Amino acid sequence: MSASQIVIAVLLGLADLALILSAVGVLAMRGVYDKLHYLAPGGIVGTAAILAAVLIQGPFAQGGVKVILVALLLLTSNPVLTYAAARAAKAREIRAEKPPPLPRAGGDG
Amino acid sequence: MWLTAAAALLLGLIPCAYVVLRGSLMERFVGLQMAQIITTLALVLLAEGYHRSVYFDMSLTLAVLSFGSGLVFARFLERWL
Repeated sequence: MSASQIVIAVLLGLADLALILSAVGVLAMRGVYDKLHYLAPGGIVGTAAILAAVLIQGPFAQGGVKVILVALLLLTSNPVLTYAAARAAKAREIRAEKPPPLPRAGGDG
Repeated sequence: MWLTAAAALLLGLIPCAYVVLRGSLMERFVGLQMAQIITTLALVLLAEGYHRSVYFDMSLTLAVLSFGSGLVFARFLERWL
């Protein structure tokens, strides 16, 4: 096994560990806001480790450019979706606390 | 090695499936996002394992669609559902 193969194996192991632990964290945490925190470690560490492993395997071969695009997309979309989910959860909480508006009294005439 | 890593990564879908099945509405959305991340990266590993560059297109498509669908879900959950 060459040195690059060993490095790739370590990176893949790190990526798998980060993603599986993040998934377990999403399961274990109570509440939406705590669960949302666990999207980040897997999404960032796992993506970066897999990107590095693919680039070490063969730079810009076998779809290396596509993997860079996938990684960039995941790294940018992860925080955006986390924020959108937190905002939606907060809006739902506020809507649940606020009573619905009363119907307006009096009609036409 | 790549295929083994992909198979191990797919085990991470089990906790996500449990959250999606049993959680509250917003918790299910979080579980879905985690599952999308895991699946996208598993497809990358499978593409590298099978040495087919066209399989990378699947992971790229899933990454794009998961971003769009996540935003649509979040907007609907915020306002209408």
